[in-house]
Formats: sequence, C-alpha cells, structure tokens
Amino acid sequence: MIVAPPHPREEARLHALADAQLLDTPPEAMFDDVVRLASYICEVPIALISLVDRDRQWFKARVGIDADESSRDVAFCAHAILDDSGMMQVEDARDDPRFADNPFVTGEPWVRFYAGVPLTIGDDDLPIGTLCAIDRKPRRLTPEQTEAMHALARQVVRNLEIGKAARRTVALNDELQRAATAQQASEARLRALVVANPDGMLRVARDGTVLDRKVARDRAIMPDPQHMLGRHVADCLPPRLARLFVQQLERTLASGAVHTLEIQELVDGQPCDKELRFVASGPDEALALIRDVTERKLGERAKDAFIATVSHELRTPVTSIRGSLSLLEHGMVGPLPEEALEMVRISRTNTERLLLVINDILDLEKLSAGQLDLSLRPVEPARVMKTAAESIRGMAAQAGVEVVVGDCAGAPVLADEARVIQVLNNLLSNAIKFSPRGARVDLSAEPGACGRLRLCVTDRGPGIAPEHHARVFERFHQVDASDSRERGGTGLGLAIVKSIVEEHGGVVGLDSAPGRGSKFWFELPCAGAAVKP
Amino acid sequence: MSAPEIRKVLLVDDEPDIRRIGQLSLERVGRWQVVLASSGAEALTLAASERPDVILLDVMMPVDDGPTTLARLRQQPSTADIPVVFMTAKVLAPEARRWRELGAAGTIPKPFDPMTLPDDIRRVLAAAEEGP
Repeated sequence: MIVAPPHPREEARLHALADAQLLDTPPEAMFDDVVRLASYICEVPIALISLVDRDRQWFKARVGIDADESSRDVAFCAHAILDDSGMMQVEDARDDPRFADNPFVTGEPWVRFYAGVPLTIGDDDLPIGTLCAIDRKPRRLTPEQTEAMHALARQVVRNLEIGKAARRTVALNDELQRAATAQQASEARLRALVVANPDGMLRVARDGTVLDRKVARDRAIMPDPQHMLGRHVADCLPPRLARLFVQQLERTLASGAVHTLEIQELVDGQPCDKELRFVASGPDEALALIRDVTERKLGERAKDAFIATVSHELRTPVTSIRGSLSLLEHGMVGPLPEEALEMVRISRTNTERLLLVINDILDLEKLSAGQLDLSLRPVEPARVMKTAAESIRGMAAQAGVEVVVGDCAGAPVLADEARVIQVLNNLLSNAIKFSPRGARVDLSAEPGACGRLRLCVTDRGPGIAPEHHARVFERFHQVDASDSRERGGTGLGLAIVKSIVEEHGGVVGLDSAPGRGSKFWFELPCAGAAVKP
Repeated sequence: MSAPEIRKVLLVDDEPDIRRIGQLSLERVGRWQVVLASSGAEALTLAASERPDVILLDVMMPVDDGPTTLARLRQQPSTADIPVVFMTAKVLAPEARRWRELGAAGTIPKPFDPMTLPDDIRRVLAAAEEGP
C-alpha cells in the first residue's frame, strides 16, 4: 500500500476546507440527494462526499456504508485529490500497487472499483475532498456516467459557494446591526452631551450656511433661532459677528485646529461677552460652541482697571523721585560730593528699572483690554528693521555687540509701524543682553507661513532648552531667576511681544537649543493678503 | 517756520512735588521764567494776567481736569491763542487724538525727565507748527 503524499498546497487546502465550515456538521438533504443520484446513475452500491482533513477523511454524505470517517492513510480520496485530470478511476484495486493491500480492499467493504472527482473551491481551485463512486466489482464508468459525476460534483461545489456567500451575508448583516446599535448609542451619548452643555451651538457649512443650531439661554447673538437653518450666517447673526465668524470658520477649516473668538454684543443695552470656539466637524463644516463669558469678562475688566489705577498712582511718585534725582545728578541744585553723587546715580538707575516694569504692565494692561488701538498701514519691513536697529545701537555699542540688518526683499506687512518697532526693540534688546561681548545679532526677514512675512532676531547667546520654549512668552517668566538681576528687564518683554503680534493676527516663535544661540521670530500678515476685522 | 521764542511758561499741576521739579527744570535747564498754578481755575486767572508763551497742563487734576481747562482757555479771548502742552501719566492713543482736536499742541508723557523737559516742549511746539 502506498500512502498518498500531502497536497502540494496542503496548508492552504486545509484552510479552504475549514473555511467551507462543513466538517462534523449534520447531514444535509441536498448532499444526501447528490450521493444517492451518483449511486443510481453510476450503478454502484457506495457513493460518498468525502472531505479530506489533516489526518482523516470525513463523509459529509454517504450511501452504502455506515462509517462517518476513516484514517487518511487508507483513504482512496487522499489520492484522488492529487489527481489533476479531473477524475481518478481505479478499475480494479487489486491490480493497483497503491491499493492492492489496502484494508478496504482486503476486507470490508471489499473495494474493487473507485471513481473520484475532486471538489475544488475558491479562486485557487483547491481540492477539499471528492465526490466518489465505489463498487465491489471491477468495472469502468461509461462516458455518460463520467459526465454525470462531473455535473454532480459541480453542483456540490456551487452549493458550497452559495452557502459561503450566505454565511458572509449573515455575518455582514450582524456586523451592520452591531454598528447601527453602536451608532445609536453614540448618538444618544452625543445628544445627552449637547443637551447637558449649557453652551449654544452652531454647525455651519464651509460656505457659511447654517446646518444645525442649539440656542443657549440668551439670544444675544442668535436673535431669530427659528429661522436660521439653511440660511447664511451673514443673514442671521449681527453684522460684525457674522464677518468675524466667517473668518474664523475659514481659519478653522484651513488649519484643523480649534480657534477661539471673543466678542462683545449689546443685548437690551447691556454689554454681553461671548466666547466662540470653532472646531472642524467634517471636511466641509465646522461646529461653533458659543459660551456666555460676561461674568468672567466683568472680573477681568475690574482687574484691568485696578492695574491701570495702580500703575497711574505709581507713576506720579516715580515722576517726582526720578525728576529730583536727575536734577541732583546733573548739578542743577548745586554740586554734590562724589559718594553722594554715586548714591544718587544708583537711586536714579533703579528708579528707571521700576519705571520699566510699570510701563510694561501698563502696556500689557492696554493689550489685554484691547485698547491698543492699532493703526494698520502697509509697512516696509526693511524700513522698520533699520529703524529698530538704529534705535538700539547705543545699547548694542555699550554691550560690545554688533547688530546686523540682513537683506529684506519682503512685501509690505499690514501693521502698526510703531508697535512693530517696539516688538523688534524688545527682541533686539533681549538678544543683546544675552550675547557675549564681540558677538553679533542678526535681524532678518524671510517668507513665513500662510502668506505672512517672518521677521527674525538671531543671537549667539547661551540658547534656551526646549522645555522653556513654551513658557518664555509668559508674563514674568525668566529662564534663570538671576537673569532679571544680572541683565535687567522685567520679564514682561516677550509677553508684550506675543500680545502685540497676536493683536496683528500674527504668530510668534522661537528656535533655540542650549549652546546654539536663539532665533526669536514673529510673522505678520502681508499687506496684500490680510483683511483686518 | 520755527516755533516762537519761549520766555515764560505756566506750569499747571495739582501735585506740589511735580510743580517744584518742573519749576527747577524749566528755570535752570530751560532758563525760562516760570509761573505755577495748582488748579485749572488758578491757571485761567494766571494765563490771562501773566500771558505765558506756553502752558504746560496736567491732564488728571481734581475739579477741572486738563481738557476742561483747555476748553476754558480757548473760550477766553486773552488766552485763546496760547499754545497748550498736556502732561499725563496715562497716554492712550485715542485720548491723545481727542486732545489734539481740542486744540492741544501735543502731549508729554509722565514721568518726564527734567533734564530734557524744555527740549521736549520745544519739540512738541515745533511739530504742532509744522502741521496737524
């Protein structure tokens, strides 16, 4: 007896067999009919649909024998699935060395004749088993019987494929149902979130059409919520808000980031502060969450007014102190002994320092109160760079630092010239303070993001570790606590820079690493591209 | 066209210390004759009687503040033409614009430096002469 070798693609074949989900399943009428027909047509006592598993053959349908399965080693079908002629026929097993001493030949059921058609499925035509006809006496199939066997085998395969498709449909259906249930749950959660959130909400398409809305308690900015759907925001929001709204909508869709807009509207004569947070809710739509921040703003304004008053009350005595010291120092009220003069100088320079802090706080106060009152005009970057460098030359000379203004072929920016010079002055004076004697500081311009112009101040100072980058623009943040004492400065300069630049619709940034100097930069909208609210 | 020669200045401020420092600065650095007033009302009287070449006027004063005093000076024929320079510790761009519209020549921020105050006044007047 010769045991059949494994199929050349045995693992894939076993996978296809498992995928057919037939092994060890209950009898099915269709397959039973096929083996009965095979037995009638071929006039044989035994017919089987045999599935060749890893170590056994298992009968999905059988006529003429009682067993469910047998070892693969003794299975005729294990040989038949290797046959690529379409059918393996053994006329008399006793004459075939593969089967002559097979126990099914030398004993029950006394097999002499065997004809098996491989059942091949899938795109690769892998044989998972056979449809076979078996007789106890030697013989051949007639051409008609052979054709019938092939036809029946095709029916079996087609039925397997239909079953597989049906199972896929059922699985798909289950999956869809699960997804639908999950979707419903998710929508319910979302609805609960929207209802629980006290904020108002507007969902708006890229072109400004209102897709959905939820009105908060007040009607400050949605005076007619019933008639907003399908209309353009310009037709249903107050005009100034509508303009800013469209701008933020475009920014949000362009950047994918969350954008915030703060606005004050009069409601029944009372100022009412709103904060709108924009977030993209699809490729062509955004969600605006609208929150009433009137109370918070009242608090902020009270604080700002307090700071303004304090600053004013500080400036008045400082005017007297500094004025007196200056007159004394310059001998306007008579000569002073050398040491007295030294004390007067110390007092005067410290008064200057105090004054710097007060001025910076006032500046920040104006910025946070939105009172900066920028006068925006096209500004030649080359000119402001030169002016700023010129005005700081004295300080640079004292520190032994050279300020070099690079080429600037940039387009004019839309800005308040005096404020841009203030920003550059702040950055340049920082750069000079942190530069070693003999080093140079570069002032340059280059194209920035989104059609903006980027102005850069580069020093060769100690540099700043990455963990400090985000915080250097915060108020009173000094990388090293001894900085303010050693180098002067209030810790407010960069906070002012950031506020002024952002008030222009620009951005600030920093490229730096310890030992590699720092490059502080800011970007301003170009005059051609920008539209100021 | 250059600014007219300054000989006499009226300094108006409710803070006595600032009046004193301003006086020293204007007298010793500017070498001008100085008249002092501590309120808007006093300024109106002294401006009419002393006929200063320029009035240095504090903005934040009790009772009549700087802008109110300026308006009164402008209504009085004898003082209507005297240039007025504001001094203030709180300069906001919109306010400075409004004061110019009221007829002020300009604004000097506090704290001022007494060593440069006379020059600052000359510069403000020259700029006002040049045009609006």
